[in-house]
Amino acid sequence: MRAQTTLPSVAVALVLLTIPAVLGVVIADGSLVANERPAVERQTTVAVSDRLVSQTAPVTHRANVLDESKLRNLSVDRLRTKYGVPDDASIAVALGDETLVATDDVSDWPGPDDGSSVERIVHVANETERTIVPTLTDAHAVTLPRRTANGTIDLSPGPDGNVSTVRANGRVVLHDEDGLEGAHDVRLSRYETTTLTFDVEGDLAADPVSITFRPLETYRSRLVVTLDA
Amino acid sequence: MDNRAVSPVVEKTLATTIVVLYIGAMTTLFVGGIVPDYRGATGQEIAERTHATVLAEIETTIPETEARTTAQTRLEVPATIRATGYDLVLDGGELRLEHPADSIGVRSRVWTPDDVTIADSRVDSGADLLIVLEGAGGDRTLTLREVDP
Repeated sequence: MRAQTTLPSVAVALVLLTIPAVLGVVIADGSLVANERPAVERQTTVAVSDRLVSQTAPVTHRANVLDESKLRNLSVDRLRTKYGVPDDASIAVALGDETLVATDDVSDWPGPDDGSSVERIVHVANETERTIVPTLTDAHAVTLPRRTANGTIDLSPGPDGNVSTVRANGRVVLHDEDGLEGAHDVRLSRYETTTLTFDVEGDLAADPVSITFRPLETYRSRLVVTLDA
Repeated sequence: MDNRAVSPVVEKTLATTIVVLYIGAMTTLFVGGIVPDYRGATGQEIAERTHATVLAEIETTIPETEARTTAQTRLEVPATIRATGYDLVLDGGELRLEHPADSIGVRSRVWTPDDVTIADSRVDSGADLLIVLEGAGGDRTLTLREVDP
């Protein structure tokens, strides 16, 4: 051992040098993995979600208001052609917790690491039909309880009575000098509550008017678009 | 030869050689393998984020109406990735980021409404880039252009 006293210290020094080098590489690797983001996939998902709720989309009535029946009839092919989902990506569209349309390989995803997911709050609208039969005894006017863009007015005033004009919020929508009869479609305003007034001569029969209108019933829900490229 | 006086010399020479070999090995390991891998990975990450930003700005440039449009978005992109300039190419409905290094590159399809055609164009990363949408209603074209300095 006479001439080898510095060799152990050299060995110790080299080991001490290696430790921070390895630590440095491990920290750098961890930092890189933590900051990785699937940027292009995320951007594609956001874009598809924006297209689904935009006002020019086929499934919407207006921006952020989706039509329920058209939404439920969405298919993966339509998503690929009309909404820009890439051909090689898996896609799932869900309303709340219910999956509406998905490619085949989505039996147990989306998990937290599979694909990118975008949620937004939307209104889902159903067209419903309601009919009211006002009596028109005193005021010759009726206010519709729901706003609606159009309606059908069915008049049967009877032999003694005559309705010559129907106005919606002061605007004439139906007019006939000889008296209106039968069913007529009228356009109304969706932006204000409509009051229909009738110009009546003589005595009207019972139930002279029946008004059918189709208001949109809406409820709020979450639209979840998940895409895995 | 007097062996007793030589052995410290041999010992120090041995120690020096071991240390020099160690340094050489570590340097080769880092510069040859580990560092280029990490530079490539970071470069690819930056390329993907740049590509995603350009895609997002293309979406914003296209308005929701289908009428005659002249729209332009000016976008700043990193001048270099990994110390080398790169190209952004629109080609056949695809947006590609082309970089001289093999390990860096991004490509994806660009989706536009039916009435917008994507014109093939190539832009260098050195200057700000312009995303231009122009044309009559029903026949509009999307192009990438460079900003004149």
